[in-house]
Parts: sequence; structure tokens; C-alpha cells
Amino acid sequence: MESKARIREFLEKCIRADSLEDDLDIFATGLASSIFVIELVVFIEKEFGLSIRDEDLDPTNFASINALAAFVARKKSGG
Amino acid sequence: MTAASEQETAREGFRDFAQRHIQPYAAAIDGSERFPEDLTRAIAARGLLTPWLSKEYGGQGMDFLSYGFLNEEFGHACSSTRSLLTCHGMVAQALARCGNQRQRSEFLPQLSSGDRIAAFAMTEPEVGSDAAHPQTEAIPSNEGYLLTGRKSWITFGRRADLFLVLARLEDRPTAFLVPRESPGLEITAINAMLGTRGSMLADLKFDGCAIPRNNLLGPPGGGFNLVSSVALHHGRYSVAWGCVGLLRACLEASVDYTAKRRQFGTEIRNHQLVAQKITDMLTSLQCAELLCRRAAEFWANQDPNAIMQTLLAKYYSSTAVFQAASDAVQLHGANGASDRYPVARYLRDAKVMELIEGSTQIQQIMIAKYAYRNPLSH
Repeated sequence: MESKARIREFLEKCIRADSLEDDLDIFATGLASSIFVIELVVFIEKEFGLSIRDEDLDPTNFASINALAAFVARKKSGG
Repeated sequence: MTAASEQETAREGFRDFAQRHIQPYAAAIDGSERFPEDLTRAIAARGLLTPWLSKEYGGQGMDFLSYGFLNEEFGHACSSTRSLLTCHGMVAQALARCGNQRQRSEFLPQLSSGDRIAAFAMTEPEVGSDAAHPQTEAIPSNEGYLLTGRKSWITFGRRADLFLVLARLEDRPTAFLVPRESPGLEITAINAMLGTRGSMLADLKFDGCAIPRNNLLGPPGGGFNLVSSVALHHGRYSVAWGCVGLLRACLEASVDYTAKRRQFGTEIRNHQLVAQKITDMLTSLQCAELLCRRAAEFWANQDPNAIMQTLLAKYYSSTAVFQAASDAVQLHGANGASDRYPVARYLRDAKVMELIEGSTQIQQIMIAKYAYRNPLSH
């Protein structure tokens, strides 16, 4: 499964949304619970074998499916 | 999860330390409402303040289960002492996860060595569970930020050298590291709390308190409140295991008392209604410990479910320990309501467990949402 699909599956399960638009800002919607953010960070690290550092913690990296997929791709390519 | 022999050995060491250096002084810590400096130094000297940190920052790289055992043993001996691990660890965890290299290098070795004690300052007079909307305000200045507002019920606030403060920066909750000596910070001791009386609570008042630019921790919040989430999560894990220890103390005290106390020509342990309470205590102790061990296992596997599992463990452990402590007092009769036995302190401390790092009711809301989220994969 491609990165975007894995991210979508996780997000839709966590915030109980049936179909999320790829560019929807999940934090602006109010759908995300207060613990979701840490679940999301742990998921990204575990699922994609990444280590998220302090310099990665720009909220725009985590805001939407597209942003997360782009962030994962950047990290995997060493960016 | 079965503890490996290395973890069990570590647990024995924690128990030995707690029984020699903490338990004999627990009643005095509670009674005096002060936490002894020599105990802080002893814990730090053993490397137990933040043992889970990497060696690079002065820690031992301790695994999650061993750290759980540490909290259990401290919680068994003295809830105020376990509170030190909790609040100090919350700040260290937030720093380790969200701090920049300079912040990590400057502060984490100090927190490991005990050169600085840290406290987490989120709650305000008018802001409790709604942590995303602090009223304390941060205004950018030439050299950094100016904080104005109040924080309440800050564990170890009387003692801490460094505060992690959540404030509103341009309408977004944001974390700041505030050294005790910062100009414009006023600290007022809080006394006569119901429980964990040795945990040195304080109110904080920030009156244009000047903070250097580098003391902003992590990104400004909004929906992305990673700093507070990380800190609270660490706190819940610590409290959950501490409750297991306190529950064990309730059970031990009750078994000991009911095996000796005689009424109607026999030890009261032989009365069936007493046996029921002992049974319930032992059962809830094992349930609480299993939930905590499950959380440790998820953490060891870097599983996102660790967050909810920790919430479940904290919810169950804190409610179970209050029931157990109430039953322990009941079994002791009038003795239990006095300071001749520790169970009155256990009861007061147990109630606090249901209030801190997320109240029971907030946790019920979060757990119920989780149940609806994916009901077939719990």
C-alpha cells in the first residue's frame, strides 16, 4: 500500500471520518482529539521507520494527508 | 508481558531503595508537607530521576517496563515521592521529544543529575482540563517573550528550578521553559491539600516575566499540541504505575491488619465480608498491573495504541486504588481514620490520583470515543 493510503487509513480510523479530502487540514476541523497528535507522530515513526526530530515538528508537516505523505517522502529521501 | 530477569532485578533494586530511603519517611513527608532535599539528592545520585533518558543526556536508557516498576515501587512507598518522578519526567520527556539540540544539551543533563528539578505548569485558576486554551499570555519582546498570567496547583512548584509553562502566543497554546530565577515570576506555596501533601504544590504568577527566545519549546500549538500531549502522556504512565504500587500497599496493610485484629473470638479475616474486600483488592491490583504492563509492551513496540492503552491503565488504576484505599480504611475501623496506620494517608493520596494528569471523567470521555473509533480491534 502506498504511503498516502496507509496515512489515510490511519487518520480515518483515528478521527472517525469516512472519507478525508487529501488537503483537508485535520487540525483545523476540530475532529482530532487532544491525544491524536502523539498517536500520529508515533504512527508515522513506526509505520515508515522514521525518526521525527524537533526540526520536523512544524505543524504544516502534519496538517493533511497530502502534507504527511510529502513529509514522509522527504524524510525517506534524506531531506 | 513477562518481565525478563534483568527487569525483575531492577525492580528488586527499586524496592530496596524505596523501602530503605523513602517508606520510613513517608508519614513525615506527608505530615510536614515538605519534600526532603536529601531524598531528592539520593534519588538523583542513583540516577533514578530520568533513568529512561539516553546516556548522552545522563540517563540509563531504561526500558518502559523497568521505568514502570520504578514508579510502582515509589508509589508503594510514598505517593509524594512518586509525584517527583512524574512531574520531573513530564518536563524531561517534552524536552527530549520536542526540544532543539541546544535545549536538550543544556537542560537534560541537569534534569538527570538533579541539578535542576522541573515542574509542569499547565493548570490555571480558570483552566483545568481545557488545556488548549490557556489564559496566560506570551507577548514577543526584543529579547524573547514576556509572560503574564497565573498557574495553579503546580506539583513541586515550591521546589522546581525550571518550569514548563503553557501560554497563549498569538492565540495558540505554546510551551516555554521558565527558569525559577526569571524576573517577574512569583511563587506562592500551597498547603493543606487533601493528599500527596509532600509534593510541594505552588501557585505561580507571571507579571511580564521575561523569557529568552531560545526557551520557546516546540512549535506553537493550535490543534498540534505535541508538547503538552507528550508531557501528559508520560505523566499518565507514571501515575498509572504509581497507583499499582499504592494499591499493593493498601492490600498489604489490609491483609496484615485483618490477620491480627480479632473480633467475636476470631481474626476478622475469617468474616466473609472482610474476605470479599481483600478479594476485590487483590483482583483489582492484578488487573491494574496487567493494564500497565500492556501499556509498557505497546510502548516497547512503538505502537500508537500505547497512548490509549496508557489512558486505560491510568483510568483503571486510579479508580481502583481509590476503592481499595477506601476499603482499607473501612477494614481498619477507627484505626484506619487515624494517623496510627498509613491507610488514611493512602486514601487521601488515592483520591488525588483521580484528579491529576486528566480527571477520571475526562478520561472516560476519551476512552468512550476510542471504543467507538474501532470497536472490533481493541
